[in-house]
Amino acid sequence: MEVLLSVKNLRTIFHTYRGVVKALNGVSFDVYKKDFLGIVGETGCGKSVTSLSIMRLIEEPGEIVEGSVVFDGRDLLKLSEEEMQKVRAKEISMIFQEPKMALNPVLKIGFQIAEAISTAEDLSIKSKEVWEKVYEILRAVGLPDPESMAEKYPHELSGGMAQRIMIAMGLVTKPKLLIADEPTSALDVTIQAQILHLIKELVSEMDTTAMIITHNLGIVAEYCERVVIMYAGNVAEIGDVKTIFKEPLHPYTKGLIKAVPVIGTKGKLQTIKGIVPDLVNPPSGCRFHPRCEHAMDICSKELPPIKEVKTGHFVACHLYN
Amino acid sequence: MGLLNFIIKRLLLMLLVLFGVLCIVFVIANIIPADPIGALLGGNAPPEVVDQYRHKLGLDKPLAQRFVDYVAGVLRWDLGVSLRTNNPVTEDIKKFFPATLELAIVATLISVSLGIWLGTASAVNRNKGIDHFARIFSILGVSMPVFWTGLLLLLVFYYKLEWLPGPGRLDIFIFPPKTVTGLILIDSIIEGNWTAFWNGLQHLIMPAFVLGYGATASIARITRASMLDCLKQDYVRTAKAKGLSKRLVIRRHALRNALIPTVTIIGLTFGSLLEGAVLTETVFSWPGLGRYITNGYLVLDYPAVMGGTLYIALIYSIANLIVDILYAFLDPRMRV
Repeated sequence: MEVLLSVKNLRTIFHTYRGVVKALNGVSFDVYKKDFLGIVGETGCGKSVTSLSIMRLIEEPGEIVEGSVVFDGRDLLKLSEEEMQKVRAKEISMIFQEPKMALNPVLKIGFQIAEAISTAEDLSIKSKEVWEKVYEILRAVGLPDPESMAEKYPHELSGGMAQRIMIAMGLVTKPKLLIADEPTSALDVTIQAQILHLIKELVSEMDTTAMIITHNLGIVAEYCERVVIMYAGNVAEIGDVKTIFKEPLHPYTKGLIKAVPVIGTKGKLQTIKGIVPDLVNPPSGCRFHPRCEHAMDICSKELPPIKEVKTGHFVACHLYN
Repeated sequence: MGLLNFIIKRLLLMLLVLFGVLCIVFVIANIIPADPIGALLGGNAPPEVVDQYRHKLGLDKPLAQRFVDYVAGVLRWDLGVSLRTNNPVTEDIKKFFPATLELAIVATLISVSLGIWLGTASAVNRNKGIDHFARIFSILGVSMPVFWTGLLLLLVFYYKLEWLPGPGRLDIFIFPPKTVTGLILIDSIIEGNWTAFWNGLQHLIMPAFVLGYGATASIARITRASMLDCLKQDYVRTAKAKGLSKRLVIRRHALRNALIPTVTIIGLTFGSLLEGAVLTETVFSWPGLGRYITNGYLVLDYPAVMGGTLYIALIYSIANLIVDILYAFLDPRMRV
């Protein structure tokens, strides 16, 4: 399988008044071409920071201090800002969590989509070509009457419609990679499935690659092919969805899967003991060790390296060293 | 349709406000313990002349009657006769207001463009050189009284350096353009009189800057704050993720949202510009409505003071109406 995006040892920190938040502690994973990859973890584990770091959209007081993000043969972290703008315009698109907040309230949605096309293809925003594409993509994301839809403002849309607009905006430029950061968390459960179906359908139609960030294992099981499990700024485990759900190796992954309620079974829901660590003063060694049932001496001393235990199944845990 | 309803509603509200202003102005003018007749005729005037004048000015009628008469006059656009100039107040306003309007317009242009630019620049370069400069500039602007800034600038640029002309709207040796609008800059463009245009502009710079300084400062601070807020919003991140250049992200996405609170401030400061004009015009001997009112006060010329104040209130209300319409234009969410 051909690698499209290779993240190596990515370290991103945030300078705050409380101290330095070590949000990403050397994250590494690969995204293959035509992959439908899920990145899963609890709130604050660095999923969003990872995607924003890939896009180089980390704002002050954040800072990418180490690592490489090789996309299509180039290290994105070494590009100039102008070159990076071209990458964002044409090659990587991003969809955000709160669709209604992510659209500019004072601009018509047609204009906001047209802007993406004109930036990517260097066309005038008023040109007929651009607007034909706007209507075409609005139809493709399942919005009726594209001409009048394009004239609407974001506050006139529902959350689901707004997310369709975001998807339209992200995919209209035919990017090589689509990053969707919690695309359905802010939506009603009934709309979530529609939106995910839409993303999946359009991504496979366009033959492109997608990376879905979520905290919902159900979404991963249903839609993703491969999954990266993250914990407190580290990658815990990587593998294809079947393997991860059937034979999870990392104690955190095991806990996570046990914590999903199964319909038809009564009894107390399993939880992972303890809380997500404070990333200003993270635990030494493996950041999961204070909550781990199998913690050994070495776990508090050394960060476990990520190791391929079976083809395509990676785990970062001292139990498997 | 929605917009039209909105405007009509606002116009009705405006009439109510103006009536309130009228009441206040009338009451204040009539209850302060000073006698306009005494100011007019001096302390030694014979009693029969005083009575004659009192009758002539209608001051012998009961207060309620005078109020009704005044309101009826206002409705006919008759604000009485100035005791000092002996002209109808409406004539005087027509003569003096264009100078004030010209000053206020140029002051607004200066403060809006400079204020928005400074505010945006300091938000984008937060805690850097330009931001610190803008902060000091703004604190000086809101804390220095207009007359003091005016005197200081006159001292430096007129008296010491001789870079800019002093009082008045034109030098004495410049022929003024024929009055069409009453705004010297516009009239001289109509006439093609570039000497007068250039001279008028030079005369305008200092008073307009002095007048607009305080407003510049508050516009800059509000723009900075709302710009900082907008730069943190999700849609700015979306714009960046689309690959737009920093300039477009700021101009097209952040600034338009950031200007919504700024526009409100612009409306309010336009009022303070008219009010500040009273002082600025006095310092710069600017023959405008502000100076007309001030001079009226000094001789207890009530019709002039009342009429002038009411007129300024009218203009202020209109300015705010325009701001509200602009608001609806800038923010589609306001149009519902």
